[in-house]
Amino acid sequence: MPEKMLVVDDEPDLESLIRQRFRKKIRDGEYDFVFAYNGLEALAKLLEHKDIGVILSDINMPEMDGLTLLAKLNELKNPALRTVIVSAYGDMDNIRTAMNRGAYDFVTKPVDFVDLERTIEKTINELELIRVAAKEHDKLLAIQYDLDTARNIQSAILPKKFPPFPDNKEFEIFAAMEPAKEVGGDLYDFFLLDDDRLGFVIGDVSGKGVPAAIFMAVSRTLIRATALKGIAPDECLTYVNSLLCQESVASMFVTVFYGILNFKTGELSYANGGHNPPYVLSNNGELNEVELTGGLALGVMEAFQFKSKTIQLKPGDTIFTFTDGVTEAMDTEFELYSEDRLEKFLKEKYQLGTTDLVKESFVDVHNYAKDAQQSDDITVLAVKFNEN
Amino acid sequence: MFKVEMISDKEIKVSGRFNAADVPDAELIFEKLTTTMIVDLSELYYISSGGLSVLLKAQKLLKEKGCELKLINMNKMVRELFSYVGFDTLFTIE
Repeated sequence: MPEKMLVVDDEPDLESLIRQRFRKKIRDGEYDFVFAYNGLEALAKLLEHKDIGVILSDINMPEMDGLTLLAKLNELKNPALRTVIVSAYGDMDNIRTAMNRGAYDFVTKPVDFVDLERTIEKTINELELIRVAAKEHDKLLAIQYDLDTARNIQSAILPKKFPPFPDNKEFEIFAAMEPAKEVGGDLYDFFLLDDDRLGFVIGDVSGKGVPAAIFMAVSRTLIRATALKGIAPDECLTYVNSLLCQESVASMFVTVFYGILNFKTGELSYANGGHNPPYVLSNNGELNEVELTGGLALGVMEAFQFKSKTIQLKPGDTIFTFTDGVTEAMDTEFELYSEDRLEKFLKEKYQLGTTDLVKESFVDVHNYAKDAQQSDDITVLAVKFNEN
Repeated sequence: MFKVEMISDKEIKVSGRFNAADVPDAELIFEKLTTTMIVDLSELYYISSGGLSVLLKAQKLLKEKGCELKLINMNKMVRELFSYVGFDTLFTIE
């Protein structure tokens, strides 16, 4: 691609001199020249040829001189333009003014073409750096736009109104999600199935960014639509899994924990699809991990049959679900927050209601991680079976 | 921090921390596999869901050809992760 350059000078011989002295470079496709005879024409040529990078300009010209042209070029705010002033020897005042107006360099007349060629090459090299930087900047803007899109998708989908069921005094529920810089596809959801039962879901999509956010939105919608039929947790996950397997792109999968709490009796039936097991925290500080159900993450194996288990919550018990963004939060030494720390936290804070428990768990993770960058979404959903 | 290397034409070694950012590099090697491979995870300290995806994808492709990945020398944490995500039923683990 030839480097296109604009020569601005009222001297009629300069054009033929340039075409002659640079004939080899022109023939070889390295240089391409456009000519204007004053500053005004120069501006017109710039509009016509958007790919001009180098300008060689005289100072003394009719209609618009080189110094005024420089001022006008500054207004264009085009970072990929560089001007070399070609001026009469001894015209140091004007040359200084030109440099102060942003001229990149100057050569004096009569033009030494060896010197001019060196100056042109230097200017082209500078422009190359600027062009690469501009491309990187555009790439960064595109990435930032993608990150924002992913975050918006995720944020729009997750229920944020708390308390969601103020008329139901039999239970308390609170959830929160903090996305990592590159959204990690965490999800949570909850809904009343009927007068006795609350369904709640927590999940984590593999991968990051817009693909994870979209897969998360699809998963959440499928789970909710299927769950609202009121079927058992294992049937729900089995059905959703078979649908997701048909949608799976790039081997994405989602780990899911789905629980149905009968808030009249305290019976909790649940199915775990590859998700890190939640804890049950009692109001005497006792802590127990919820047994796995042998399930696989969803989206991996079509026709996989999930299984449910049932446990009995005591009044005052809280089921604390979370994603691995909690236990795998790292400090600046890459040490993980870990299950041990989470268990210690829960045993200390067992007296808190769900809202405070969840909020303080985030505080605890952030205090641990300090300045280390958050690498994964952090999500916590807690449900408490109230005492009468 | 993360390395994937072909030890021989039958063995790969994956070491360090396998994060989302490492997925493209890992894919370069894993997507080209055509035969049963031993994957040495003795120096893998951590694997994210993105990393699991790469292994899963490779396993699916190889299974279509009647081959598979054999994962060896996992540390305790990685082994537990494979357990509760349910991936221990999908791979041969030694």
